[in-house]
Amino acid sequence: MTLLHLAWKSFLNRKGTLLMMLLSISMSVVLLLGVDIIRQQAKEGFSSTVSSTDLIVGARSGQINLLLYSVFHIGNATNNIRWKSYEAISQDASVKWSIPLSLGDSHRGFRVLGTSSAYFQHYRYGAKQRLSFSQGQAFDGLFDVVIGSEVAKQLGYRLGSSVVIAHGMGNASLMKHDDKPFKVVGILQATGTPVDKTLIVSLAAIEAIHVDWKSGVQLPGSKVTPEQVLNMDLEPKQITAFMLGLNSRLSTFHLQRKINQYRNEPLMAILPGLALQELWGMFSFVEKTLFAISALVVVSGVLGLLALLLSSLHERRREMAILRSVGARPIHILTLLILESLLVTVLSVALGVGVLYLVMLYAGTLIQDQFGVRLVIQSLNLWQWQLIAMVVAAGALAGLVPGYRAYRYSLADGMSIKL
Amino acid sequence: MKKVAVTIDDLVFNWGDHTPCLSIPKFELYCGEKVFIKGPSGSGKSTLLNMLGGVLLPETGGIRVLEHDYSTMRASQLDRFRADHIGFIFQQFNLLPFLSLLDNVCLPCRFSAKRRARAIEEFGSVEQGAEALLARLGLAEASLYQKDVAALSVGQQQRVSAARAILGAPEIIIADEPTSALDTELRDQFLALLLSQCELSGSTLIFVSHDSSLEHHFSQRAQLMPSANGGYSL
Repeated sequence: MTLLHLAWKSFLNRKGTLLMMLLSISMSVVLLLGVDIIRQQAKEGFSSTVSSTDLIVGARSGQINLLLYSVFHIGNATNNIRWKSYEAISQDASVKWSIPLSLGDSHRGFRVLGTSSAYFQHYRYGAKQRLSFSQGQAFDGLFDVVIGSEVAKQLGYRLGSSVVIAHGMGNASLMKHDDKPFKVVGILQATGTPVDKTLIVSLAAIEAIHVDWKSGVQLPGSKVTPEQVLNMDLEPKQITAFMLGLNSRLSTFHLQRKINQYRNEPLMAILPGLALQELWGMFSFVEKTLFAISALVVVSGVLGLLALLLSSLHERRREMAILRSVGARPIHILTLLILESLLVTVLSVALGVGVLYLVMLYAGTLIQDQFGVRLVIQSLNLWQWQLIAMVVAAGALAGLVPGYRAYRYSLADGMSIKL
Repeated sequence: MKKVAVTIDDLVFNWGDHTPCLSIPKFELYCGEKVFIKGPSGSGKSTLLNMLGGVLLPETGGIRVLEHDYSTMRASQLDRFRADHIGFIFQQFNLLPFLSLLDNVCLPCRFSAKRRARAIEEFGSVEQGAEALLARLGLAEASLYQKDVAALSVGQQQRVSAARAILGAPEIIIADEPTSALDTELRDQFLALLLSQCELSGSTLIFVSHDSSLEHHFSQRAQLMPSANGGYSL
């Protein structure tokens, strides 16, 4: 208790320099824990992009490719699949529900997804949450569109806004389906998934805007007006992919095999959970690099502390001599320096954690807007506590070096005050 | 019969290079005595004090303090013995700058349970003891207690360290040129206070200085003299 008291007083006496050290170490702690929290939450957010879906089916390619375009709306399908195949498979006895997905068009950089009303009923993300509307409702009419929260926010759309869908991807698409504008009828609540950046229309709508198109261009002289299209048969001939929910999980592999061996068309069925894991695994080196960098920042902070303590040692030889004369043993001197360094690190960690939570509290929305990572404020997990323990241990270790020096000094100097 | 405080027999101390530094064939001091040891700078005064404090060990010869033979004690035992039985006053800058005046005075009692017990027995508590001793040494104003010790005058600082050395009534007080930074008037005043306080607590005082004008305050005197082999002897 005496030594802790002394260490504390000595710390207060040197607070000018030690405070800078404290700030530097606490910033490194913010970085270390911040990187880990973002990593952990990004991973959680990532793997909860799609849930409750047992199989995703698309044209035969790779499972990551299929996952990317069907769920993350990144990249394009190598091939479409026939509507008839979808109908046949979705009527399999083991299938509980199915969601057809038709991709390929866009609106000002946001993907347009053609699907059925089953999407709003059965699509689940996160902890099996379903999509909910912040305004309006699901599409009903042919030219109705439901937009994700991000789309609404960035483009400033409200219910009733008019939306023209462009053919293909990209902002500068020259070809627009501007003869058939859509009307916003629903805005979804934020999900933290790619759904936020998606415009959702019916499959029939996708069919309708392409009815007078062929091979990616509008056929000249064969314009079909929106009024005419309403009376046409708009059953799609092909879609991009579809999601399946099964009655029993046990039949997943059976159905997967069946789909993979589907004779009328080369199809592929993937288990989204497994594909998500494989995809995340591809980023693991980024994770590791970030961790290594933040760990190195901590190390440099602790080394700074070590250097500071070492350089203060000389001026402290007098204090050591005084302490020895009043009965302190060399081991006390050693302990004193370790305690001081420990004090700095413990305070740094406390400050760092405090700053981190303040950042999450006040800058959480900013981070979500900028990086798309939703930060949920939660208590530190075991690994993060272990990281903290490691930082504190490193701090104690940093005190050991000057502590040992001081120990040697105090053995050699005794009570003679050396200047 | 008087109790012996310090006995030194056939002591030789060498620095690492084997040039003799200090030799003391025979030195004896009884409890309650006050001795003035005179020596020019470089004569090994600090070495002698460090040996008496058990921090340095002699090459040959024995030191017995309060019937404890240093040569048979381990370093940690010596540390504890010093904390319990010896109070020190140094030349200057005796105080820890990061502690308050009162904390500085109480410091030895934090390291030694014996001195703490004696202070409590005598004054009721360590802090009360510190305040009482400071008052006796003419530092009674409570406003001083809150002051940064570095802001005290040298004379005040030396009185604080005297209070620190005396609190908890250690049997032996070792003073290493405590007056060298004081002017003549303060020096005599300080010395008178120190001597009277040692008298009061019955402590043995070993006072080391190069300043022979202080000699007359002491009944017993010794001198570190240059010896034939290039070192000094007592």
